[in-house]
Amino acid sequence: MDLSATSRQIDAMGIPMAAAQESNSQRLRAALAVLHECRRSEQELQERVAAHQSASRGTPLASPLEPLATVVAAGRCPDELDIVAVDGSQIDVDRHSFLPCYLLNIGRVRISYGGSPDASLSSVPYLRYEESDLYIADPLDPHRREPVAGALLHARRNVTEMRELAALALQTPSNRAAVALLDNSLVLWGLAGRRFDPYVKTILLEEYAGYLQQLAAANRDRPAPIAGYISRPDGSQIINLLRAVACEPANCRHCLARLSPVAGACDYLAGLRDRDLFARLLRLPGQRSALFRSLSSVVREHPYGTELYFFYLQTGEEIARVEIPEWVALQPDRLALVHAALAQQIRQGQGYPQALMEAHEQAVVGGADRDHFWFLVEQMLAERRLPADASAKAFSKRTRGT
Amino acid sequence: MNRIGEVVEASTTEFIVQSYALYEAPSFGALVRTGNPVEAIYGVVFRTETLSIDPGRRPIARGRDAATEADLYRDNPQLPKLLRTDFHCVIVGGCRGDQPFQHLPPQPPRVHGFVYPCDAPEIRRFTERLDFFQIIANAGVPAPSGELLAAVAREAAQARDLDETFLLAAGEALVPLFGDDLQLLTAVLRRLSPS
Repeated sequence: MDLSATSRQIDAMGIPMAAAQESNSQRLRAALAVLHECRRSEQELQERVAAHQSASRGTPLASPLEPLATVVAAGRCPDELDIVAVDGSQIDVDRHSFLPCYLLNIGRVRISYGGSPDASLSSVPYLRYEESDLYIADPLDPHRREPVAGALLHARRNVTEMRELAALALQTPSNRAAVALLDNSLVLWGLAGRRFDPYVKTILLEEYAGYLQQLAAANRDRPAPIAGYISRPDGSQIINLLRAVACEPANCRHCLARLSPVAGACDYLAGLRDRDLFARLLRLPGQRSALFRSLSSVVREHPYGTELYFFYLQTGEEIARVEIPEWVALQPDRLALVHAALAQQIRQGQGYPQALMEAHEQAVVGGADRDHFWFLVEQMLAERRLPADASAKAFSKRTRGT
Repeated sequence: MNRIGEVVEASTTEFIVQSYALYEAPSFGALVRTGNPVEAIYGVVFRTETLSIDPGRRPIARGRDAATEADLYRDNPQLPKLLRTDFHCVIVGGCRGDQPFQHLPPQPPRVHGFVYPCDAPEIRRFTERLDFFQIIANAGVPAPSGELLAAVAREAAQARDLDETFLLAAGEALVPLFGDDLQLLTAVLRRLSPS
């Protein structure tokens, strides 16, 4: 790469970035003012947002359950607590390789705090090669099928992660509180949109919702809430909510129709991100924002089995988004437990939840492991005298000559 | 005696043991026993280290707000699972049948060989001869050889209740190993003093 030419371009990139930064700062101050000055009740806001939602073309919105400017400090964690966490990685189907298969590597972590501190850190590999694993077939027409690769493999992995997380949580002693953490949104975003046929989504989501239900059932008997933790979240649901608040008249199609050429009264809020807004509102590590219900269409159109709620959390290093199902959000003690547990985990992890970090470390499959995996596969094929035809492209990637 | 660890690396002159329990390695200079199917092999501990199991992850300080070190470990239950204690041993001889010898064995210990601390009778029997001091001095181990030899002699003397005759014999065996470095020799001999 020509580094000096690249370096000149990198310098040039800095100029508009600096200008944007200043403009952003001013606009965020304005957004914060809207948030603080909003005198409408939660109910009024909910109605207003619902009205905007029906008028809008899929603008992501959220409905507040608490006053917008709410800031809640984390409470104390129970002394006896189990944290379980899961993360996963994968070796994808290699189309240029000789054997269709994929590997999911799921990191599983349990850390037990209290009088008998203990931890269990492991990873479990799942090698999949049967037809039924490599394809998702339409139950009504088996000739229609989707290969499990790329985004679909990612979604398949997320479902497997939820299965493992539910199993881990159910294994913790039922006389203690437990909190289950996922290093991801609770929504399978990979399945959103029109990319996959409905039968694909239904099959995966029904399985996924089933595992969430297992956790809901465990949570009835003793505290066992689940939360999805998203680092550096990109959303603007609350900014969009503020636009709905700031904009007069109440039914501003111009500000909600994203492709509209006409500027609306709330344009100055466009393009801002929730995380930048809450970085200014939440000043101390462990503080959370108000609780919101997500009005994103993805959750309502698919069988997740629950509404999705979320709040933003100041970690000291960044603003994270925490997603919880309805059966956690609407139970104050479970909500407080999730909040307290995450604050404790972030303290232990010096800015990131400790258990999620450990789960990631268990899950990660390095380059050397990857190569070793394919070597073992080749070796197995050789031992059984099975053909190992690699494609020409794979061959050329491995032997880079001049 | 109970086994304390397993060989994780072995060569003709040295072996490395992973301790089963964190922080529970034998003392610097202690005699340990492992082996291969033919014979028992003795080693002397010259280096103990506790480090991260994953070489890519270094321990980071966590206890700024902890009242005590015990609190720090209690608040981080995952730490013991992420660390390991290893001790390195220089091979000083072995035992074939019940016949001890003090030269390098023909074959190194096996990886995953169990490692045992030597009890007092075993130490006394092995240290009836002190030729193995020469092996340690010439092994080129990365530990100050004076310190190591002094520690070995003291550990051996402990098995004899610090018998002065033995300490004297150990001192005499050390003299030829230091050439004309009288300063070092004096320092080492001072470490052998029973007080």
